Amino acid sequence: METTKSGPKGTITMYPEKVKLYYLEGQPEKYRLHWSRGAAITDEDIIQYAAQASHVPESAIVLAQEALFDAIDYFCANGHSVQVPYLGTFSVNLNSKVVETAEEANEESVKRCRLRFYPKRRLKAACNKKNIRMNIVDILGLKK
Amino acid sequence: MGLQYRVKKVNLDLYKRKVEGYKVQFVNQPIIMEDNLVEYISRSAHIPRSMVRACTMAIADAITFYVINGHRVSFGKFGKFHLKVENTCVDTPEECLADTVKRTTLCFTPSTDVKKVLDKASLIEYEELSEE
Repeated sequence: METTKSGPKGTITMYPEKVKLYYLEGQPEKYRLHWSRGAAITDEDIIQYAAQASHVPESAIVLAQEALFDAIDYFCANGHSVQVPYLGTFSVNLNSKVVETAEEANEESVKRCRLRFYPKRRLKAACNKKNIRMNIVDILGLKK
Repeated sequence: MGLQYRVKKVNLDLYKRKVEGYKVQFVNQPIIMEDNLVEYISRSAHIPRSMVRACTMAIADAITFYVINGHRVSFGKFGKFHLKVENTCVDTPEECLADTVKRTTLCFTPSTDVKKVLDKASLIEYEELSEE
């Protein structure tokens, strides 16, 4: 995805909605833009788009995607961070509670394990608001 | 092998009262660099390395395209990519313009399956090698 100066690459639809700010004194009512999310995109859609956009055979993309998922699964389950080209880094982290003695600090004190994703700079830049056109529509009819 | 941890001593400052405690700290294994991952995928999927790079680039481009158009993109069983839009509140609906959007960022939400798998992953205490 190129992020040239030619203009926005994506478009999202937004509409004004009324919100009540409960955390402020007097609970004032304000307005803000809310964006309507598009349809959920599955792996098959990604494969189709990727095959059309880059002249790589669909079968190769399917194989590479499956192998990529297996690799992330295997390496992350063993505590490695995985750098995926053009995408970012997947890594595992765990949170634990503080206990009084060293003996108590064991598997039971672990609260949760998390999979985290750190996108590449290229991907971050592509998702910048400069590359997205905001299509504002008054769906709720709030404007007079 | 599973996830490795070591016990770490921590000093807490609770209401100006210093308390010593212990917590579990995750031991990071070496990072799998891009080249190593490409080599691994190339061997397991029997496709050339250049093709693997082209595929990952195409997948990244496809994800970006759908995300910046407001879709939620599934990434296998790992989770979903989506756009996060942060904006400011204004007094009237007429003031709700594109300028009120502060920033848009790419977010990744891990799926519940991954959370369950990681919660059940075996945790092993890390044994540091002694000099002897």
